Amino acid sequence: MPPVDLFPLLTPFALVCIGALLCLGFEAFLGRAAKHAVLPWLGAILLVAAGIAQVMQLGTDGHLHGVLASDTARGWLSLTIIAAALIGLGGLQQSLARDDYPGGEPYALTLFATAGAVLMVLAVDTIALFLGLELASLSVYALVGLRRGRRESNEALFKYFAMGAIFSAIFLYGAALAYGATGTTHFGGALVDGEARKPLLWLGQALMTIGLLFKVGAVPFHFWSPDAYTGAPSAVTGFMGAVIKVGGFAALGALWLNAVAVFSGQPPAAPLALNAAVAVTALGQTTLERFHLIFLVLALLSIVLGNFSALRQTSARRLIAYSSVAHAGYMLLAFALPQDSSQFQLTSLWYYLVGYGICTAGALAALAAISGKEDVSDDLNGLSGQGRAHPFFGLVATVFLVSIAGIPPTVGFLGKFLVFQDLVQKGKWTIALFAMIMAVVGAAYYLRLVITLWSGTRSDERRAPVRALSGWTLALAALAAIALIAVPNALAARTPATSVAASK
Amino acid sequence: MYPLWLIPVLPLVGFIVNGLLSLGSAGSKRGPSRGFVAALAVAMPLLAFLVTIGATAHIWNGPTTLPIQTYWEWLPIGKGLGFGLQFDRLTALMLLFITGIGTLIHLYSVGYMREDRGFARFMAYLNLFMASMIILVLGDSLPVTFLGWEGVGLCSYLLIGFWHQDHANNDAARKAFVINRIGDLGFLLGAFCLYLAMGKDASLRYVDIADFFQGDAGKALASTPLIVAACALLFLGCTGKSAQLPLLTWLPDAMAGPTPVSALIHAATMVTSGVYLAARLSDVFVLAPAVMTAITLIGCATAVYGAIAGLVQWDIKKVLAYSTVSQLGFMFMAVGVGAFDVALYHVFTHAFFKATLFLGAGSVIHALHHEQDLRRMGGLTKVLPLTYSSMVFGWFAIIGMPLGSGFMSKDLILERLWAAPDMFGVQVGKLVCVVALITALLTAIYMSRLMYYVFWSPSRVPAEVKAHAHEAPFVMSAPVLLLSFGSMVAGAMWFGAVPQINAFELWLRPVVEHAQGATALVASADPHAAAAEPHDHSALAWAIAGCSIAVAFFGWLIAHLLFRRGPKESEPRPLSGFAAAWTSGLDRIYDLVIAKPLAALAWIVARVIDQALLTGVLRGIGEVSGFLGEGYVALQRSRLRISVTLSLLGAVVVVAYLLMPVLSKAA
Amino acid sequence: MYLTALLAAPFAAALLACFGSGRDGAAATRLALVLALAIAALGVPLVTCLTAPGAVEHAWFSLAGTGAVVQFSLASDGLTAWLIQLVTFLVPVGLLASRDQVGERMREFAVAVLVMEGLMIGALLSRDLVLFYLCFEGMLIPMVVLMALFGGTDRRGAALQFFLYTMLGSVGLLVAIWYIAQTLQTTSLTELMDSRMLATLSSGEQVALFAAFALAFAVKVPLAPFHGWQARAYAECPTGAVVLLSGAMAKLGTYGLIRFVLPLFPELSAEYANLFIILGLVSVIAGALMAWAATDVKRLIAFSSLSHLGLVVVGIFTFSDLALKGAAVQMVAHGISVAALFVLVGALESRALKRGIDDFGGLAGRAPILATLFIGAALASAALPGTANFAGEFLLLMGVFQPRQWWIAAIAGLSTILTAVYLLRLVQRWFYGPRRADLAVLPDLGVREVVTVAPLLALSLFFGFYPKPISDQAGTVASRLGAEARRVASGAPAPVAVVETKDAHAAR
Repeated sequence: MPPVDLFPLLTPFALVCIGALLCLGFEAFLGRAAKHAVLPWLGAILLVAAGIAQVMQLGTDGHLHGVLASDTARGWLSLTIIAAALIGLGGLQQSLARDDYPGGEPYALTLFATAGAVLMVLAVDTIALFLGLELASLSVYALVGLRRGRRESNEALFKYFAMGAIFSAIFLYGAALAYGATGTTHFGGALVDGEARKPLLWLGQALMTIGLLFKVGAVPFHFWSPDAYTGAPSAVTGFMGAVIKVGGFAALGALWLNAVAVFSGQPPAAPLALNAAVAVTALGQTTLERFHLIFLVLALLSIVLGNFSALRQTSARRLIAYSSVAHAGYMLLAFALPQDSSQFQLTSLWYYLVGYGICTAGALAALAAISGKEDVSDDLNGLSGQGRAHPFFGLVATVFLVSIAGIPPTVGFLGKFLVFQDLVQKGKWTIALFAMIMAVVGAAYYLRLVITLWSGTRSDERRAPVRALSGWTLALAALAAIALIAVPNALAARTPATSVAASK
Repeated sequence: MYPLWLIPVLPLVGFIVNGLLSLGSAGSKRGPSRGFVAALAVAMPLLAFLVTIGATAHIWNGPTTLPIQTYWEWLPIGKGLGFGLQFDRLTALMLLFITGIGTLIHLYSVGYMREDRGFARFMAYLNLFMASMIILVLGDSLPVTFLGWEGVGLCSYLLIGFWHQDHANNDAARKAFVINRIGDLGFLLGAFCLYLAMGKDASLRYVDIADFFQGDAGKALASTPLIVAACALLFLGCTGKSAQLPLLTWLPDAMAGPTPVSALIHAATMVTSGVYLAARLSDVFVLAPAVMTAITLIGCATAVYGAIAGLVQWDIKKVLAYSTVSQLGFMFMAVGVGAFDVALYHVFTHAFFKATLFLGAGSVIHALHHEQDLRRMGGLTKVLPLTYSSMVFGWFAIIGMPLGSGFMSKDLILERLWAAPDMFGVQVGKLVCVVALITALLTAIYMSRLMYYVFWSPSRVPAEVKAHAHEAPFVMSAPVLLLSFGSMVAGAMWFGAVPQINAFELWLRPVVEHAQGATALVASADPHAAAAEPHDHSALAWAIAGCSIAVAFFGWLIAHLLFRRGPKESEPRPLSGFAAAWTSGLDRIYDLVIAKPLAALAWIVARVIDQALLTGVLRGIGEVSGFLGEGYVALQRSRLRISVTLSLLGAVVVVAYLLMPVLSKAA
Repeated sequence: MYLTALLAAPFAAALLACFGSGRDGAAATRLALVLALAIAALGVPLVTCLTAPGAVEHAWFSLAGTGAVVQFSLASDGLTAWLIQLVTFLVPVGLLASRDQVGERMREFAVAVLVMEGLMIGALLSRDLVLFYLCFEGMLIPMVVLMALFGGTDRRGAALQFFLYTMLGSVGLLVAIWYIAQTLQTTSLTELMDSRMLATLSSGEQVALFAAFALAFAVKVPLAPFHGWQARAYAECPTGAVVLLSGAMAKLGTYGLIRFVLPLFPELSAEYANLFIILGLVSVIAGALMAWAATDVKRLIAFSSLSHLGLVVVGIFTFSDLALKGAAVQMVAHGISVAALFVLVGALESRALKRGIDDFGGLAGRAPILATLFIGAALASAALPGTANFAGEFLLLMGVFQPRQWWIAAIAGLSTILTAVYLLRLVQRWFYGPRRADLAVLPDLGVREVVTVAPLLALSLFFGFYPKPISDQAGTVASRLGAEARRVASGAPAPVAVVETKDAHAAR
């Protein structure tokens, strides 16, 4: 991976930040109605610009002094985050304008969170990663507490913030230990003097992993998510669920790839691309055995507990919260190491993330539009029949939910397909079978939501005019959720071999 | 190429046109024009009849069969089974009386049903029946025949239940169809057996079947399980259609239909299709002597059962129905001893005199405003002279008065029975012959009883009814007269006792001679028969003729003594005691043995196994998983400190697990 | 190219229907109808053209860690072609039949139906396991939405149960596909079939894969005891949807058995044939008995189709040439007849808002056209000679009938009697008997309904007298797909060619 210069790499990130600042700046000078009319569009324009910039540099692999890196997978993930942000803006506008929310800061916060998440994706250095992580988290905390008047909103904010602080600290401590062991804050630094400091690095790796597992909401670090998801406005919930997952898993994946490389005794010369294929040696097999087991166990726990907890939920947001735990589990399955020493890569995970990010944001943005004032009636009761009342939102919500449930013909299905096929290919077909069965359990509650949307016959149809921004973003996202099944290999490195060679 | 296809298509056109008319006119009060419907409905069978005559002319002398006409490939059996029609002498015979008598009965129906709102529908059904029956006898292969075979069953269903306002009729119709279906399954499986027996690329065309089973390959299969099964199953089919034991209970109930239907379907044509099939496949049947014996015995039992049942009925149509059952029994007795031509001869004569009697009965019922109970009749000679005279001829024929057609055919049957070879060392033929004579006596008694109660006994007709009683219109009486005439002259075609009078035998010889030759061979193999067969044939014939004449007169005499004063009670009451038991006994048995258990089983499968067990399991799974979920969620509805503790605990566990090896190494 | 267009057409049509018409039911119906008929016309060349259309094959994506490249591969042969005819023909029928029930929401209905049609066509055309699974599972969603939108009172439960049951059934199939991809490095059906690669796996693996495939399709048919979803789903489905569900979608189960199970696992199919034959017979008899005991007529028809398709499964697993031809004919025939029955029941339900077997009486007098058509459909489904169902059942029974296994045909044959029993019972209860006062105002069928049903019955008659096109095109293909299993079952030695390819693969 060659060095690249600052400008092209940071353009998308910069554009997002500029958007955030502009929104913040204009917010003060706009009337209450104008805020919701202007700011989202302002943010949207800059997000689109960022997206275009991102697409333009999609081909170039490179890194910036070992701090930030860009490659195909990172490009796609950043695009996903930007897309989720667009959808989130649309959803926010739709619901905040409906609720006549006093103030336009949510749009700015959304963009800051986006910037943070993008930074998490690009980071190949613990400090950069921590910057992004905090930037994203803090803005999301604020977004969660948007509805100051509502009790559960405040409660959610408090819980999320408190626990978030704790685990940020844990992450930071881990980073410090890793630095102590390797003498560098870059990922994949080699031990400074042989075996002696291995335990340090080991512990550091473990603590950073835990910190990130909290962010992605895997069992047993998921306790915040039900409250946080439910306390936040639906549109925010979707956005947050998407970008934090993407950012968190991107970081987790980068760490894990480097760990695999390092503990296989061949620390990468240059930062690893996310879609790199790393050679797993016998040494790595044995050293990482326990790590790998931890991942599998936590994955299965998350899948089981998440799915079963979601089964009887009535509130759409709480349901998505638990299901997001289950999804963290599915994705963690991708971290399993191949049994025989061979190439290890996370391509399938990245594809999964792309699908998941777009569809989660989309689903909740669509539901937000039909959940009534302050999203009070986002439970099965309130949502029943809303599909009939609003065919457009009903249709897109159906597509997104079906995709999250992993039912063909959607990107969600192909994501699960690739992750589990990867698992089978690693010789763990029993786990794959189990996970598939749990996926059917998961499908049960998503489908119940879909059926409720269409089947209810309510007289009091809440009329929600489709606003242009959310209309377009949702429509495009829905098309993407289906069209993306055409290009499952897009995120794979063109030639997996090169990155390995680079790492030699 | 002679347009054979016209014969079935003509009535079919009638069906379609009339059917559409009756559907189209459903809204209107009175329905389509009676005149047009009637004209079309009668013209079509008549034309079919003429076409048949034309075809018959082709095979009158010279080729005994028209070349088979195959129209298109129907089923991918063997090398592809065509949909073809075959016209040989057997077909010609059947078609002639089917279309001929059929036409007459159509004509009669025009008068009988004129006032009915469903007139067009009725005539349409009749035409459809004609078409099916024609296909049945004209088909060149078992599947094509089966098309007609089930077609007639369907028409019988539709016509029995024609007055569908009354569920009694519908039940009768359903019963007829279902019982026929049982027989039809036998037909199918039998056909499959034949297919297997004939090996690879076999077709089910009659010519191929005949060729195969006349050849050595076929003969080699004689009495093999496959052939026995084939014949038994095919005969099961025959028992269904031809109301033999054990599948006869539907025929008496079928009298629920309008009387012309009873005459056309349940006396003259459809019920004889079993005999037709047996004759058509005679080459196969003769290869299974065991089945042949069974057929004889079943026919005999049926004849006796029907005759006794006929004795105790009060409903005039039921009497005729049971007499039909009994007469069909006679036919199958003949079939059983390999006398296919005689069986067909009886089919032929029976068609005439039974149609006569039924239509006559119809006129009586018509005259008495749908009164069917013998206890409300009597002394109608003056009132209905035409009907009376024609029914007398029918009666004359059926009880076997000399020179009546019934006499001729029945006499031949007895003769063949007597001459039949022993089967398995038992002189089945002679025993059956004796029983048949007794049955003939019973026949004479119950038919005379009917005549006495209707005509020759003091009138018991209520006055108001008698006042309006009138002879049927010409369209009804004319066919009856013609048929009665037929039932006299039909006998002139074959008289066993006089060697010269055997046009019928000669006519059918090409079709059945091989099979009957085969039985003759079996016979000659057996010493007694070999002795009995050649010498004093005519003497035997005369003797048997004498017996049957005596029996006929004796039966009449008994009837005269018993019934000339009319019945004791004149008030209609349902059958009771022996009569009831004998008549509806079979129904009760079937109900107990088959219907009820099956219904119970259905209930168990549907309610217990399917709904309780399977559905219960499904629901259980859902409940359990939901319960699990709730349990875990309850655990998470917690305060912050608890969540934090749990998370940190998890973190500690993870770290500890990871560090264990490292620490142990360090220590 | 043509096949791709055929596959894409329904989705394009769905988009058009989406934007083409607003809440105006009539307009939506017209539009959807035109589109559906156009698609049907587009599909006709499949059976009329003598030369099979060129197969389509593009690389779709490669599976990580394996050499397997999933192909977007479509191809058509007689079997596929005729089932596609069935699908494309039933879609307009379904659209017309639901006009009353759906009313102003025709747009949503049409979109869902068209999407479903596209996925069904995709499943029939696809010659790659992954692509097939994609469509096979995907077609459930539009059906669920249809049930949720227009179903009966119990629609939520029914839809959810239908979906979970069928999806759970095919989970194994998906894992099996992964396993095949990993071990055999391909997911292309033709490749797997031509060089019988699966034979190179260990017997344990083969059994597991076989079970996975068979289960998925047995649930779809359904085959007892996997019919738990069927009756409830059929009963709650709106008319137009149940026409497609019972007429077309259920056939994908039997199609899968013929297309995948028989050629991919000939040895195991032969080995476990008796199991499937017995399950089939159980379905035949139990289905008929349950239909006899049913009081809800939609459930009655559901059970009857359980019974009829059970016979098809029996025929498939006897592998005989005639039976497979019969299966092909019967799949089309049953699709037609059951559709007609459901349309008529739906017509009656939309008038009287009830469908119990005791809810009507003496209708023959009041609605003679309805009565005539219904009796016609009932007779067709009772396999009266002259209807396509007869051609199918005759060939099936004939093919099943073997000297050593005569009992199979005997038991299966009982269904012909039982069918007559329960259908005539229904006909009598509904259409005969004294007129009932509570049904004073019950209009007869309108033109639209007659136009919907009459062609079905006409087709049934046509194929009843001339099943040759189906039995020649579809039947021959089915027979060819079953040939290997037939050979194994009969214990004949393997032809040389197959052995060679095996070696070739072993060498590879």
